Amino acid sequence: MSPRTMLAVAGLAIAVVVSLMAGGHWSSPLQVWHALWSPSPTDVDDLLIRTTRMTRTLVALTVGAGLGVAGGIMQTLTRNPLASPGLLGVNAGALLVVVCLATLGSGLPGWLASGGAFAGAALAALAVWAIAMRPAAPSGPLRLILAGAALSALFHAFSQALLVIDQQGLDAMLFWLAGSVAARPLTQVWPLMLVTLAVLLACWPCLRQWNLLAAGEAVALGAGISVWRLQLISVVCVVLLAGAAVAMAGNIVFIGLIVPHLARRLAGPDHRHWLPLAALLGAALLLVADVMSRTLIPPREVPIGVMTALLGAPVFMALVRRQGGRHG
Amino acid sequence: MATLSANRLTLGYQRQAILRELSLELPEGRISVLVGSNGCGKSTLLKALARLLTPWQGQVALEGEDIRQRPTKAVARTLSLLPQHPVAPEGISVRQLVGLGRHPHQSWLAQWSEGDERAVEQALLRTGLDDLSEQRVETLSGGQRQRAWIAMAVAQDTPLMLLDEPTSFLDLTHQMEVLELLVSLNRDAGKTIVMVLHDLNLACRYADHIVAIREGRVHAQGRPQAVITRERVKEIFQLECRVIEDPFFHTPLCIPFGKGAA
Repeated sequence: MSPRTMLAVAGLAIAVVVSLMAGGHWSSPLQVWHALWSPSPTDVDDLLIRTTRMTRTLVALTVGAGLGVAGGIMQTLTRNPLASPGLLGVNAGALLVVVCLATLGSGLPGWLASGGAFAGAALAALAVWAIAMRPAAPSGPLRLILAGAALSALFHAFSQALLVIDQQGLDAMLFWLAGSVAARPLTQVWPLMLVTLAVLLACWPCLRQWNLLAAGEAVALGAGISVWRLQLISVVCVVLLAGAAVAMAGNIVFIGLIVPHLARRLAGPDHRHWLPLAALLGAALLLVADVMSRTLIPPREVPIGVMTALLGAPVFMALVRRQGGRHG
Repeated sequence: MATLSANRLTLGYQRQAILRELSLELPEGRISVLVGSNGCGKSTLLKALARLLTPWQGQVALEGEDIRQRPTKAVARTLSLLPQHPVAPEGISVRQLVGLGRHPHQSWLAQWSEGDERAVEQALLRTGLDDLSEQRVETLSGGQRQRAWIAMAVAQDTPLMLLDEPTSFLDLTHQMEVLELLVSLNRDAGKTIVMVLHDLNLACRYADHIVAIREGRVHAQGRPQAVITRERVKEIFQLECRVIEDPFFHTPLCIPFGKGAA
């Protein structure tokens, strides 16, 4: 492990501990230790740490890592530093299905909302892919972005129409817009966590191939990459990661956009170095955002989607300014 | 050694055919240059030869076998490609870029080997980039950058190299530099080189074999002296010119007159 990676891992570990400590009522690190290794069934703090805080910490970790990596893959796939997973229509598709389900019946169970959001994300991306990509067609990824933007707009229009007709979906909509890593119990989200973990591990063999794809489709093909297949694998990875993230925690912006930039800046252009770092940074950043969302205006919480936007927008503007300075 | 040929190749974009039943055999161990006016199909032909485009009809044969039937990684061990205007990933160093060329020689199990290291070193030496190897590609001059891309293709260690306009956007000095490098790769390393060039006089100087493309077909091919004549240039480029012998290199030298004065 390079010193940088160790630093990132250490930072992440600290963020995890702080996340377990933080809340309307702060626990000490000792209390966290106690709760993790020798919990007593009657201690309220132990219970709080082991249930609510543990869940939201785990969700934030997986969602953050998933979004960081999904954004990185998306930026490599499209060779566009401004690309983010949402461009595939993932978020819009998830929202549409959730709103549809909420319109159909009142009490929408959490697992159905999660599963529906995941299915909606996947279906939307499938439609985008079917419209944009043909084997061996040049500039496919550019069309991917255009088709994604168009379909997203269409799906949002449907969602809004449904909400105007029937306001049952309004709560689902609000949850989705604000995002939350604490809304659902672990029993409902663990399958999505497993999906995220599996995809993160499955990315490993692609890391070297993405290095070539980053140099352009023609270069990659010339060096013996099956470009279309790699693009398909990349999109599947992005859809599963971003779909699982949106199904677990709603619309969380900026993580997928900014984290890859930070990771590349810290670890250089080799995917074998920066993409794992993007997972760590994404997880750490979302944890920090969640801790801030819990502690900024107690006893209320700032929605985490708002928090990531508050943190992300300035960072993003700084990045844009830096890049503009270099090229212009 | 490896042979590359096109057999009754027809292909194009959308519904418009660019190449029409084009057949061509490229001489082994030589420098072949594709020339022709804009839109004649020379770049399309090079892309088809490099399997970037799928033919509508006909086929490209590498070592006598349909190039699309062979695993793309196996093809990449025989044939390397420098596309038009490649853009390096931000922040990548020359050595990293050149190392990308080793991909077809690696697998999951055999990742980075000593052979790869040696091939990269050699490619850097051969292209004169050994001193610049730790520099970022985006900080290099246009000529150096093009050399870095050629070094990546050299590291791929293939008997065949295809290059799509390797000298475009370079000033004359750097055009010469790139072409001299390609000649040395051909003479010293025995590589078969196929490229598209716009400058007819440089093409005549450096090519062993010129292929003139007109309206999606091979209009003429052969040694520069045989192909580049006043009549042919008029047919290929719709351009009035005189062709004289280059007093120093004894290759054809085309002096364009334009439409009016002739």
